[in-house]
Amino acid sequence: MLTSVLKDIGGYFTTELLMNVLVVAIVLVAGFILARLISGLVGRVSRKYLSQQYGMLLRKAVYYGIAVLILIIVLQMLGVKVTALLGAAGIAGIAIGFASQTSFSNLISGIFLISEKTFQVGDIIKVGDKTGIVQSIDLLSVKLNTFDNVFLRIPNEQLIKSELINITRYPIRRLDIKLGVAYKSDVGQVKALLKELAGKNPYCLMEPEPLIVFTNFGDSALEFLFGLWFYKTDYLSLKNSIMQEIKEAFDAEGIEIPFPHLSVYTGSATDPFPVTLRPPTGKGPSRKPSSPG
Amino acid sequence: MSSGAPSVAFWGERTPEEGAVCTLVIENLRLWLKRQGREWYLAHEYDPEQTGGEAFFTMTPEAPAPEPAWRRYVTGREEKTVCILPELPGRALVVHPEQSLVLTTGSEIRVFVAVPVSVRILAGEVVLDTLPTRILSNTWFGEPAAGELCYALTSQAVRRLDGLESGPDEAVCAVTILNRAGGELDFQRFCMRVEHLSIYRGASRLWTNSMRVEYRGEPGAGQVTISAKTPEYEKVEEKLTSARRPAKKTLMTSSFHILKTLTGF
Repeated sequence: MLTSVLKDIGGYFTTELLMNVLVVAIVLVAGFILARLISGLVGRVSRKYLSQQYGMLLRKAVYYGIAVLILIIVLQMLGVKVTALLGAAGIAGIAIGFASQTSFSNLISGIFLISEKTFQVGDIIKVGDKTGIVQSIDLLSVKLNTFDNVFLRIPNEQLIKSELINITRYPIRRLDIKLGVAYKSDVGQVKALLKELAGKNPYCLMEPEPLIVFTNFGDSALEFLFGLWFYKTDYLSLKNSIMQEIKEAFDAEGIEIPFPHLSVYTGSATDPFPVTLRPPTGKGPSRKPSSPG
Repeated sequence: MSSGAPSVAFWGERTPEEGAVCTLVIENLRLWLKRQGREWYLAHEYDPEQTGGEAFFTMTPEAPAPEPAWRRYVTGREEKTVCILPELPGRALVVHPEQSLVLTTGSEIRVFVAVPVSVRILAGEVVLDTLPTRILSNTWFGEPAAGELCYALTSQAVRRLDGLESGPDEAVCAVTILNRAGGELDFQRFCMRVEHLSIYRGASRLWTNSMRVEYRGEPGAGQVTISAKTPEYEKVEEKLTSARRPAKKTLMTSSFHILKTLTGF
């Protein structure tokens, strides 16, 4: 019995079949190596002429194009009728299309994103409360690397629908610092001091000039907006240094950065609520226990 | 050791004794240097209060180690000499004349601008480090969306050489500006592309090539010609540093300040 089964199996694996399998395997391996080589070459050449993002897309298109071609060749070698398969694939495609509407939506959104050039690989973008460096822009999603080194995938459809900020689109940016100083402070002195600090900080651009605006009479402080222009890569260096310098300069000049105050008046517009401080008598208030009944 | 006046004699070769700590002071920069076989040790710090003095290089065998951390450089072969050379800043400079200049049609002006240099330290042919003698502020030149990051420099931009105060850390550039446009040229900023300039040791100062900027009316742009000749205002002893990017005959560059004002919040 066993001998008969083995004989049948042995008869099935003819030399011709084994040769065919070997050739198919060689075509597959060689084809995919070729696809990698050609796509890599296209990627390298495209670096000179295209942006990183377009180069990556072209490289992927070449790779998958060659892969599909190899697959068709292999199927033909195996005796599969490709035309019939493509017809069946068309029908199956409609069914799959209905089942994968979200993917299709992402795909269309991806094409819009790429053509709109809202951002490029290497840009820092903010979507909702997520911020990160764009690693790749693919047809279905955008991959980000967040600043705490987390991989973040955002579907293209979501990107198209939501508000997106490209932080590094322009080479220079402005850091806005809201400041409050005590009401007794000299406004002119505060402005002059802020201007001097901006001038001394090497990360703060001299041009465009820093913005110093007395914005509001706040509840407990005179409020200022201190806007400093900087080169996009200097954000942390500027913020770290200027915040410390403001505090040190204000302390040195006796300018108070107040915490919220509340003054209570007793009817008169200017006189504060009368409070009298009495020296301690040594006797605390006595409390008699109330008698029951 | 190089010749010349004390301020320019600072630049050149030195041979520190092995193990001795050398101190180099120029403008805000204080640098310590030590050699041990094939290894060089450098440490530096900036003191904004230390300004305007004479530059010097001293060697004290028993000098205490400086507080800043040493950086260690290993060279391919043992070099006994160290070369201290001036180098112009790595970015273009936006020069703010202390008083704004207005040039009427057809007029020409020559101003002298003192450009702060950096210190390049070489062990033989190997560059160990390049350090600015003072920290210059950043500035932006051009459109906010597509301009150029530069260093800011406030200059007297004097017309007479005897009125120019330049220190050992500054190279003097003679800039001639011509207004060939139909109207006035009112500029408050001027962009100097120092990468095209070489540095020369003069009798009493450091010099760069002369620069000639011709304004023909294109907004912000000027036709810049860098003189290939050695500076003519003082006897030049030697060329210390060559230009990073030698200039072609003429360059058409954005040279004058035309910046769109960014307002609002």
